[in-house]
Amino acid sequence: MGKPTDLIQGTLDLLILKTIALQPMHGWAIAQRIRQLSKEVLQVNQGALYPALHRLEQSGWIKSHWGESDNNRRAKYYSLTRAGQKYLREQQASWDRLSMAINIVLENA
Amino acid sequence: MRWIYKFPLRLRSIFAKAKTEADLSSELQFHLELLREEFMTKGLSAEEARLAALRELGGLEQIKEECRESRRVNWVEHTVQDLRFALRTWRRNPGFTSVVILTLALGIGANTAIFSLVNGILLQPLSFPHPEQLVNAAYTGPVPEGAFIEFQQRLKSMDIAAQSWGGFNVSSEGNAVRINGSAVSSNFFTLLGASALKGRVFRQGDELPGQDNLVVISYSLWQTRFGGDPQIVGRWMTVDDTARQIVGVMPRHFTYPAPSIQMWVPARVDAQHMWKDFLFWMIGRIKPGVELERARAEFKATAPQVVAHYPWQMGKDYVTMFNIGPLQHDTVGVIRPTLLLLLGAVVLILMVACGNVANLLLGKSATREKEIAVRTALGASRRRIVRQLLTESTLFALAGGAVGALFAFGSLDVLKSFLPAYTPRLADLDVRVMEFSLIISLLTGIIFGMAPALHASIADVEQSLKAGAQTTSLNRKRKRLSSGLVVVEVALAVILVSGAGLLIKSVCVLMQARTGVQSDHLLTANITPASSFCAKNNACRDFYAQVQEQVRAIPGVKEAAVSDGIPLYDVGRTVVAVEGRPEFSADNPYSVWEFSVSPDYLPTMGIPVLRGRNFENTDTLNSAKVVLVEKKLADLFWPGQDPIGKHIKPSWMKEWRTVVGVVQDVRAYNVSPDDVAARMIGAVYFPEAQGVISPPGQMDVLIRTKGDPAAIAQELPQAVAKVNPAVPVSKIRTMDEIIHLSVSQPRSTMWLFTAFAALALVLGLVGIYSVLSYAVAQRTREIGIRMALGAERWEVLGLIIRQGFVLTIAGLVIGMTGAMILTRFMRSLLHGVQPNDATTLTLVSVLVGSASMAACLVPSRRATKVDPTLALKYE
Repeated sequence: MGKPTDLIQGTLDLLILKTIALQPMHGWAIAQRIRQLSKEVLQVNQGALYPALHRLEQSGWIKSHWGESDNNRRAKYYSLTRAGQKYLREQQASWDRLSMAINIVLENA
Repeated sequence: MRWIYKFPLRLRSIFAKAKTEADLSSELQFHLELLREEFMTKGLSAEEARLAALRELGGLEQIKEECRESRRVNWVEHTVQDLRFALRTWRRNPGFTSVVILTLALGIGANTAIFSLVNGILLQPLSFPHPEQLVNAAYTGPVPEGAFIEFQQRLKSMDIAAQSWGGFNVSSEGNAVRINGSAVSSNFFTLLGASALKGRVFRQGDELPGQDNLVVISYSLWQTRFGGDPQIVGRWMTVDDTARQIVGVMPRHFTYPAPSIQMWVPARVDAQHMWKDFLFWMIGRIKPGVELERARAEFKATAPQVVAHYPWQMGKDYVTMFNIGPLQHDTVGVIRPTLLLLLGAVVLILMVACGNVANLLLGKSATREKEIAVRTALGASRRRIVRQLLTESTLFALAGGAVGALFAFGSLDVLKSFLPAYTPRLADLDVRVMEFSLIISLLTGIIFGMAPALHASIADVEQSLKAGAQTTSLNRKRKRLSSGLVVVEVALAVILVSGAGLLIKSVCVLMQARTGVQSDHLLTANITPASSFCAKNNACRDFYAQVQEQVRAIPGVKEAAVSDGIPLYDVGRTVVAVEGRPEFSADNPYSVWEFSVSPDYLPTMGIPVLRGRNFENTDTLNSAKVVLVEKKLADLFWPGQDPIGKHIKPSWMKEWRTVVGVVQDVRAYNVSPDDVAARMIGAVYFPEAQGVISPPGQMDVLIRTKGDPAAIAQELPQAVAKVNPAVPVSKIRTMDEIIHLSVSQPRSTMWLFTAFAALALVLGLVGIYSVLSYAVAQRTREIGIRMALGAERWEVLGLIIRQGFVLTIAGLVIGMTGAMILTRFMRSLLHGVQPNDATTLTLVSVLVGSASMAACLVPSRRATKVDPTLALKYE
């Protein structure tokens, strides 16, 4: 594996929320999915993943339930709450604004 | 809406903790499993895959801890954990724990005790309804009853009441005792808003002649003299030969105007008494809605109209002195400086105590470096560690506070005995004081816990875990902090000891000052015939003449005399005008001490006549009016001239009196902080027969004895009883006792303050000792090396002593500077001593300096005993 790019906490939250917006997933799946979608660029620091998940749950953006994984093992699945969906939309909007601004500066400065 | 999800989670975390933990473990296990499988598909063996997975995930415990962190009910869990941990640590270090708690207990306990006094006396408002409306209207001193009545009729913005001080002969079954009481206006109690415990207080109409044979007694009189009789209301008492009916008993806490007042009678209002004497002290209650300023303006404007009714001429300044001010301030004004001084002292002591404890904790935290490093490695955040250390120190503080409060309870009675008897509203510990202690304890815990806690938490994990670690920069900072604390402690101790030294010197000055009276073998007593007895002019005079005869007949008595005042105890004052000196005229009279004496007074007291003659029996009511003056006064009024034959008179009287003799100066007054007294110089003596307040009522008898005065004291009441058995003899004391009494207040303050200073000094020394001991422990390795390299034991000794020396000197310098600034505030309590008295301050420096050097000795000696070989292995 290449050197992982450290993600800022807020960005990690955003990625997690987006990933589980489509369907409930457990922690491992979330990390894999992010890696997949970003074409191996974003390697989630596994040590940061679970604290982030728990934090998001404590804040009420996501909820969890225990279910069966593919190979019939007990796993904890996370999904978005209604408030979480709204939060995701807001966070995504501000991220877009931020990155657009950075792009403008980088192109014209 | 999020709380729908958040709430159940919180509840789960509290009540189903084990399950939550188990869930977390399985979640992480699941992740690890999948990681392991991934590694295995890449070709690693099972074992290698497992290890690789663990490495990839990171510290399991740390992740778990972080997850736990996010469950924000942690603080309850953590606090309980911290408390258990703290208690365990305490049990392991009983010595350290007890020193810390004891130090805190002393500081907080002293604080609590003093604060409860200050609270009760100074801070709590008068225990009457709407105390802010109550004012003192007696800035001119007492006024004649007629003046009071005039004010009462004219003032619209406030109500006025009045009370007078006095004593009454209360008799039953033939023997009489003297009881302090007060004659009051009929609205006195209702104006204050005080109600009786039993029966009733006075009401309008009680002052009318024929209806005024009433008395209200105090709670303590009810208990002591009447045995707490439940049928007390309606019983009769003989007061000054008059039968009076008891109509009410006041509650226990009612001690107005002074705790010594045991009974109240209605002040008689009739033409005979209206313009006779200046007896009535006025108080007022401002009507609701009226401001103090408006009431004051009205009062001042009314004064000239009232003074116009006086039958005597008053000094021209007299009218301007009328004023009103808040009552609270004046009842406690006298004791205020002392209490504030003591408050300052305890604040300083608490600081010293906190400094000591902070130092002790700092030292301890150094040894806990390793423990903290391990905990950090296990995942404790800095905040967590700080919180644990703070909890520990707060626990110390609360324990210290609890012990201190117990200590305060015990010592409060002792403290009260040091305050003068006339102190108003001496309180017991109350709830507010406990609250205060609690707050102080918590603040202390946070304050002195902060520095060590923050310090310890930034321990460099790696460094500490290495063997033989001595993180240099951290150590240096810690050393600087603890040295700083010790220097401050020494400085504070210096300040307190300086204050104590000044007070001690002040008391010595007072006690050594020549009184001008030969005080040995001199007995005094107060003889108080009822005022009705003296209503017949000559009855009193004859009575005292006979008393003197009887007293002289007692074997062992050399001389006896009577006087209306005793130097240093209850001396009268008057104002005089001097003929030929317009600056001391009836308009602008001079205040002097006044003595009305029998001819034997001067020889009995041992006061020599310097010029002219003493009084003789021929100086009677109808002969030429004469006076004696003190030398000081003679020099003031007639400098360079012969005072004999000059004229002087009480300023409001018409007849001039001739000076027939000059006597030696006597220190007449006691050391109460009274502005007027401080400005007065000199005394004027009047023959008893020509007294200023005539006819003589209560007089003091003075007896020069051949042998032990105590023997005569036994005989005295009987001698007086032979003349008139209904007249009580009270306050039988020797002159030495009176002198002793006159300095009792400054002396008490001195003792209290010295106790505090000693406490501060001891604490400061403990501080130096502990800091140096710790320094020696820290430098053991260094010392070992030095000795191994050939240093002599005395060189090592010098090393440590030098460290102590520097601390001491720094503390002394800062302390001296502080003392010179702060002792200025003590000026009002010092007599004859400058706040910057060089001798005292030098002595204090020497004392504190040598004490702290002595405290350095033990650790230094311990340093010399270090075994080099052991030291080098020490880590």
